[in-house]
Amino acid sequence: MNKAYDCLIIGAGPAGLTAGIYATRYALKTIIIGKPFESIITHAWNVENYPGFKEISGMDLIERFKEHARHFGVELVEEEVVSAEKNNEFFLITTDANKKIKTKTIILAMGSVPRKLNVPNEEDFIGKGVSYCATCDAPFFKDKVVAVVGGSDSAVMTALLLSQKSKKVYILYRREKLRAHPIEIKKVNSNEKIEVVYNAQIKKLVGRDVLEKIELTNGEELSVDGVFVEIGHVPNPVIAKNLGVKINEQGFIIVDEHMRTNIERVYSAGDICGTKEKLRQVITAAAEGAKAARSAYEDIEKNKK
Amino acid sequence: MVRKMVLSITSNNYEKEVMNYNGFVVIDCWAPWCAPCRMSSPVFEELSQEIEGIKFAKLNVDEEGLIAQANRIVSIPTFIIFKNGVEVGRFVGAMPKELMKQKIMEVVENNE
Ligand SMILES: Cc1cc2nc3c(=O)[nH]c(=O)nc-3n(C[C@H](O)[C@H](O)[C@H](O)COP(=O)(O)OP(=O)(O)OC[C@H]3O[C@@H](n4cnc5c(N)ncnc54)[C@H](O)[C@@H]3O)c2cc1C
Repeated sequence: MNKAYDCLIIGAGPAGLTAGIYATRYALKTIIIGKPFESIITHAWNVENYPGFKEISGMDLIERFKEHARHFGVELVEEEVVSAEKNNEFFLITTDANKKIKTKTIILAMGSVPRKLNVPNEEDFIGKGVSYCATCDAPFFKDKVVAVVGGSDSAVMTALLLSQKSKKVYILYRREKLRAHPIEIKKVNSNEKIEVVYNAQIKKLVGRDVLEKIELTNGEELSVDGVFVEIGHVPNPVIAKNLGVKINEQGFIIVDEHMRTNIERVYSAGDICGTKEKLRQVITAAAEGAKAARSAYEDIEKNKK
Repeated sequence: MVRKMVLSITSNNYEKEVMNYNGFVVIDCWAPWCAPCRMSSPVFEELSQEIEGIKFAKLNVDEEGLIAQANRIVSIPTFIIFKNGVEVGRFVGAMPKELMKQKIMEVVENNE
């Protein structure tokens, strides 16, 4: 095994890549493990709120982050971390390609994955009408009837995107009032193709080869060709648990204001950490990545004395 | 080693290379706008170098909308496996190489 890294970052989204930029500029020997194109921001067809870019697709934005990190010589390994353990004063992580890497500090920046509907036959309809990625699949529903599940910004944005090509778009929301940004709700209300169904929850997906209709818990049926699931994201707690890092009730990693976790020399940044209500955006993920890298730097310096 | 190419399917060669082909063909259905496809296509290409006896092909659903429609593709990436011109299996989404290999081989072994 080669010499230990100062800073190992798990995750190559806005949080991880920014942490990589900062850590390298603090002259830490830094490595990032993760796939930039797997960042959830690639699901955003248009980002309009990241300063410096009036308008940019999520895919192009993450490409810029990656280029920026590469520019400062960050080592980027496009693999997945499968386990992590503490080994005296070092941590030892293992990737899916069975690479073993030793490091003094770890920044956990694994983001989150789309939450599933959790209805019985959901898996059977993936790729046959059920989608978790509107930017990938919206074009296939030209002149079709679709439903978006959820009431947040991403649900509403997905509905607006779909309304450009689809014939009819339902928004199915389990509460009585959408919780998206007022500007977006206004757009929904004035869009003739979009119909919002409140207090709606899917009970069953129905179709022979492909999705044909959905049954709601109130007994109502809707004929649809597609269902886009936008009901939020859940963090994957496995690696945090490996390390003994504390998570909260919803599974998010608990951090202090300097992004330190309860385990010494383990930090976290971005969508995977913080309270449930925290703002989860590119700019906040990047900011937290920067803070985590500085904390790692300070703790390493402290240990040298 | 001679590098095999992943064949691009178009309306000009679909009949010959897929429908009338005797044997297994696996097709990666993708589009340039799709981020997960950017991850899965290189994996697919690597597997095409490793797995013998199966034809590897790709379909740009943007340029070949009719073929995509005929195969009822509504998510990408979708991977479809044909045997003697008949679909015998499909799976959806980007995934690690070993898992993709396993999924392809499962379909092939079940239909041999
Ligand atoms: C549809 C949609 C639209 C959005 N639009 C906007 C917008 O307009 N503006 C905005 O600011 N924000 C937007 N967001 C939110 C934004 O995408 C996230 O807040 C941001 O991407 C969080 O960054 P992150 O680095 O914490 O996580 P992510 O971007 O999710 O990155 C996580 C990284 O961790 C990696 N990873 C996970 N597990 C492992 C592992 N075990 N080993 C190695 N790597 C791993 C992943 O591959 C990925 O590289 C949007 C989100 C969605 C879903």
